[in-house]
Amino acid sequence: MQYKLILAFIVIALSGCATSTRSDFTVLSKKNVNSVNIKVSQDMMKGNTRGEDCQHIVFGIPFSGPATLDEALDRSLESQRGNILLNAIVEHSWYYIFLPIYGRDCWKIEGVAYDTYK
Amino acid sequence: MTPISRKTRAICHLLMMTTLVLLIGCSARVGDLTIVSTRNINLSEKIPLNANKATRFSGEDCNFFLFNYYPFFNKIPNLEVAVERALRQGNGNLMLDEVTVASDVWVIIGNIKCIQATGAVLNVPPKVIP
Repeated sequence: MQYKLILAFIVIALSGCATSTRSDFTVLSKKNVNSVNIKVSQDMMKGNTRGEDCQHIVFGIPFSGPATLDEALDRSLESQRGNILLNAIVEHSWYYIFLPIYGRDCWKIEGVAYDTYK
Repeated sequence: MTPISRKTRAICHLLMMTTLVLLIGCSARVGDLTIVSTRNINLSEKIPLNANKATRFSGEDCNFFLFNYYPFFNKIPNLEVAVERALRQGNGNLMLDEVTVASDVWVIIGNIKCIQATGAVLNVPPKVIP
């Protein structure tokens, strides 16, 4: 009986869940853009970029602040020194091993960076 | 005054506990975006943007998570759906000064997770694809 209980506990403890969601945006920015007139041309292109912000949780203890879309977007724009992302893909993923042994919450962003002030 | 029976007291405690559990929830601001759109818009020509003239609209996408871990239909609240709902409500195709809020409300056997997008909705010329 005890053996079965231990086995059941191990199975539950090792069971996990991973899920993610993908959002597609034509335009995305968190930086200042020309709010009177906006125009994006090919010469403003900075190239493909990606950024992510993750939070790791071990035994219920978070090892960083909550993962945010803001931080991921900021990192992706900063890496190419752009201020706007076109054709952006935003991915929010969660992964947990039950009885929170380990968990991860991530925001990932990919897109083409442009600098509209160029 | 009649004394309260043990059974009534136990029911009262249970009701209080249930109410407290149902009131537990939290929300966090996960994004502040200056400009966001899910639609095809023409950015190759100058678009006049004026957030002051636009009305703010909200869109939301929610899902129930069993025991906080298992999402129903393996679906996480999607930002694109939230933005799309706000754009549809405002009858526009571009959102300015958008605020993304992720919230979590507990309901005994799990919780309801939501993502909400609120922003000024504008209607700018769409991109014409030949």
